[in-house]
Amino acid sequence: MTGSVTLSAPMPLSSGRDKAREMAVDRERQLERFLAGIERRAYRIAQLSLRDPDEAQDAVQDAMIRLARNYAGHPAEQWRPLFYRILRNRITDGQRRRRVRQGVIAWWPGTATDDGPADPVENAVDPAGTPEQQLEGGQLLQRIERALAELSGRQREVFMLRNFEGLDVAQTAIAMGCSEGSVKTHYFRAVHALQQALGE
Amino acid sequence: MTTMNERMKDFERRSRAAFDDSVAALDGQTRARLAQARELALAEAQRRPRPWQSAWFPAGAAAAAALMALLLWNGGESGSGVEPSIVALEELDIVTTGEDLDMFDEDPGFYAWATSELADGVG
Repeated sequence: MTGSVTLSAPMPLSSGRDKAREMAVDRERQLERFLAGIERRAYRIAQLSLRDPDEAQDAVQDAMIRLARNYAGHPAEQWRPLFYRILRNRITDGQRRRRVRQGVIAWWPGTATDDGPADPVENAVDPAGTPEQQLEGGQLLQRIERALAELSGRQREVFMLRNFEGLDVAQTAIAMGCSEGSVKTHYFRAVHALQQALGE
Repeated sequence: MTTMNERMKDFERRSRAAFDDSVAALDGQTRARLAQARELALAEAQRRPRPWQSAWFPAGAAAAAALMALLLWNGGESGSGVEPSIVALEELDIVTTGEDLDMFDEDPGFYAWATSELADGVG
């Protein structure tokens, strides 16, 4: 008994190009949805880390561009940890640059900061907060922000990625470039330290 | 009685809610600047070279088909289940994109332990 083999007609080249073009357009729409869904949370995380709105904007913009340039072709489920990996590196660079800048400014005689000497009264944190911050959520976040600044860099990162951004352990490990065990350890210590600092 | 675990979960929930509120309260100017940054990133993605825009597309497609056939042939023979082409491409990607992989700097204890475990576990 002889089996029959059915061969479908080969796909014309122009059809292959159209299909590839359609797939690329879909991919760009998917990337746009992804970035639109992540940008505000990423900005707040960058702002909490860098404590400067303009630097936070720049960091998020750079991370978006680098993701689009280098990883747009990767599976969409990889974008989130990759994006935060890039953002983390960008934030670390920003913090390093700031330390160098402050070191030079402190060393150079007769200067204080880029914008002139800091005004201790203006910069003092009002323990009561603004009227809006009196609200429980805002007040809690303000307290957490202050407590986060006292944590180690790794603990601060892991808390923001796991708790604020909702990354799972594996995604956080990719974003931070460390083992999953290390993520769990740092996270537990971070939560414990924050609870203690806030008297929880 | 509230256990330590419940207190931890309650703290996580409240802090997450406070963060969510702060994201929702971002002002219009910040939102507009973020949307602008997104447009720039998408323009960057569109500038990436597309395979079908190249005159080499037909030759590339044929080469890809030949490579796939070769990989399937070799894969069937070895039966290892490992996809060397994917591994190689991922490694190349890490090298070319310049993301710093500072795992060894960040968690040297873990890697020392992993190395010793591997050494002990061989054989």
